[in-house]
Amino acid sequence: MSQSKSSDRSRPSPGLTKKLIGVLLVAVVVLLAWLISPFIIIGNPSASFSNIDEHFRYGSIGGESTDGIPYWLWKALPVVFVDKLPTEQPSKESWGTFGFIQEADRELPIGFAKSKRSIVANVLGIDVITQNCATCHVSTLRETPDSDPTIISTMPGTVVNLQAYIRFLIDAAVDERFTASQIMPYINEMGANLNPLEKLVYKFLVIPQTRESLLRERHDLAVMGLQSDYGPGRVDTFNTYKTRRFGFQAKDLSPEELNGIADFPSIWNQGPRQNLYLHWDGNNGNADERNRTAALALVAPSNLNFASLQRIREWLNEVPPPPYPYAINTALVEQGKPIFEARCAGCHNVFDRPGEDTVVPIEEIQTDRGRLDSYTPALASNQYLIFSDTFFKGEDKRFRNYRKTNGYVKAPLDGIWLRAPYLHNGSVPTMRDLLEKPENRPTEFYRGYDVYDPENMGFVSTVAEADGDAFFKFDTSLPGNGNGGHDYGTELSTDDKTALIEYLKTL
Amino acid sequence: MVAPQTIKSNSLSGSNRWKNAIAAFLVMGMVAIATLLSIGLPTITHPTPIAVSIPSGDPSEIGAVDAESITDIPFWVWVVLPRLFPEKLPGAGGYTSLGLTWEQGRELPTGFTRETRSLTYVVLNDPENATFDVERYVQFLFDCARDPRFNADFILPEITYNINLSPWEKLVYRFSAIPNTKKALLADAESTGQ
Repeated sequence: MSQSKSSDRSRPSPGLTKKLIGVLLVAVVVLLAWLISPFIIIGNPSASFSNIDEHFRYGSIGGESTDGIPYWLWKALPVVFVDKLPTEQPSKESWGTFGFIQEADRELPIGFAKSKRSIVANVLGIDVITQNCATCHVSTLRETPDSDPTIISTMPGTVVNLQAYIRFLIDAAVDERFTASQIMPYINEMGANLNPLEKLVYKFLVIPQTRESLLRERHDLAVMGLQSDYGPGRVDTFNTYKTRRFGFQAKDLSPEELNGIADFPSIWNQGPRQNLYLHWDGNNGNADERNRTAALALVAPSNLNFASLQRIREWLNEVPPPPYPYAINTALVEQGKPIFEARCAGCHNVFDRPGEDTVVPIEEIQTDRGRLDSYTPALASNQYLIFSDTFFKGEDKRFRNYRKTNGYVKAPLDGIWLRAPYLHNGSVPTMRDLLEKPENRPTEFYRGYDVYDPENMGFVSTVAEADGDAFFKFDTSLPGNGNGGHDYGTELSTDDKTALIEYLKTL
Repeated sequence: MVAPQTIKSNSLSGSNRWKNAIAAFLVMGMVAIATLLSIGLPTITHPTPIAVSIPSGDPSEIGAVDAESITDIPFWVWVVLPRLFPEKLPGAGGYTSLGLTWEQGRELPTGFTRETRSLTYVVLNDPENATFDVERYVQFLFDCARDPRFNADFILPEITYNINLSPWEKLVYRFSAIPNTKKALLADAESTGQ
């Protein structure tokens, strides 16, 4: 009896064991839930906003699984690699040094979206930062150096230096500090409060994988080393396309095709452009393909967010160009209108002539041919395989409309007052300069200042710096930067030019 | 006191039998899946043996490439090969560097068609194209197949970068399309003496 009693005591009762197991199970479940909870995707994993301008500035157009940089790593980069940030503009800091625009009540600069990258079947994921259309199609405008900047969506991104941002990222990737042991302390100090599982994921997956993908970008974008510097407001769309998307090797590209730098365009008022040949050389007559080509600078064909892009597209179709906000001399406008009708409208009023092939042969327009030559039949051929077998709302999205042309298009001039510097490569700072004979146009000027020059119609381009901030010196003698050609109107009298400029402000 | 215990032990052994049955079923299922993946899939997805015709007749022709007999390449493998192995091409431009030409807007170059079997394949059905260097094309494919990176780990991410494959298609590409293409190309290379 006593033996049996003692044996009873040494063995816990079945009830107690069950309770213990139960408590243990609950503890394990709670622990797992705690570890996993930051990864759980609730609702739409893709940054989306009901206000369309907000969506344009901060919404995702895709790219989470390929181009996104994990959130805390992205936050840490300008801190860890502060020594690699551009120093030309000491008034700015962090991402602002690249010209990205920071709104006061926002965590991210304009053009960046915070979404979830799916790790497990859209159920678990991590926060990543991707870029959207607003990266290159938003900028600021000021009347005087003392004015507050006005942020204008859909205008050309005149102050953003995308190349500097890319160079920063790929330079960081080759730096010996791009390791978990160097970066994690900064992430912790920033208040990330990562749980042990998140830390493991960052240490063993996020940081090494991001480094590897940035190193791949470094390889794919080596072509930039063979080109003139882009400076703010410009990019070479198609050479980077060749090397990043199709594996063309930079060393194999011909010298003629290497100089395709072009200005970021305005993207307002797209509705009337649906039937025009688009891109500076008119290589595509399909606005949807043009949009998706631009998006592919930031996303992959397999993760483009078609629905988001469609929302933005519908909005862009309707967004009007911003009206000229400063004083206008109506008498001069009246005087300038007939000059425009006689000298400019014949080419530029293309909205009135839908269906026209608007390409002006290079022999006639004679502007820098670098951008034209950067687009090659070989590239078009490769592009016909983009979006193969990809359908959205039942529509086959494969590219079919690319073509090789021999010139530059007659562009519509809506909102032309805000589209300086002029010509496809942004080589002529103001409209008044464009109305000068090519040999009298400035051969050196400065880009990236957002203060307006109403007299000459353009941004202030003659000052190297303002309040200690230096601007990008544009040298028209460099490959791709030529400022010749388009000599229409150069023989007008000074008064006529002034009147014409006043009229152009009203478009 | 004894009786209930017996009943309990009986019921336990009964549920054990169930558990064993379920376990056995699961193991059999896993074995079946593993077998399917490692051996079955390739044969299921490639019902016809890959045709490789060895140039016959005149011995001087041995070593020449019979282009039409060259293995058909699964569509997405064909799409990404020049992007992944550009150094094996004579210049920039992907397949255009081999003289292939596209008509405006067409998905495939002149002389090539898509053929849908278990997967979509790219079939060279007319190598007669004034600019097309078919020998060099075949050489490129062989060089790719010989590259140690010609495997699913290297090729599949580039494919899924471009297209959302279903989980099933990914399996087919990983375990069948990619390894079988490599095998077939290597066999072609050997039979043509390249």
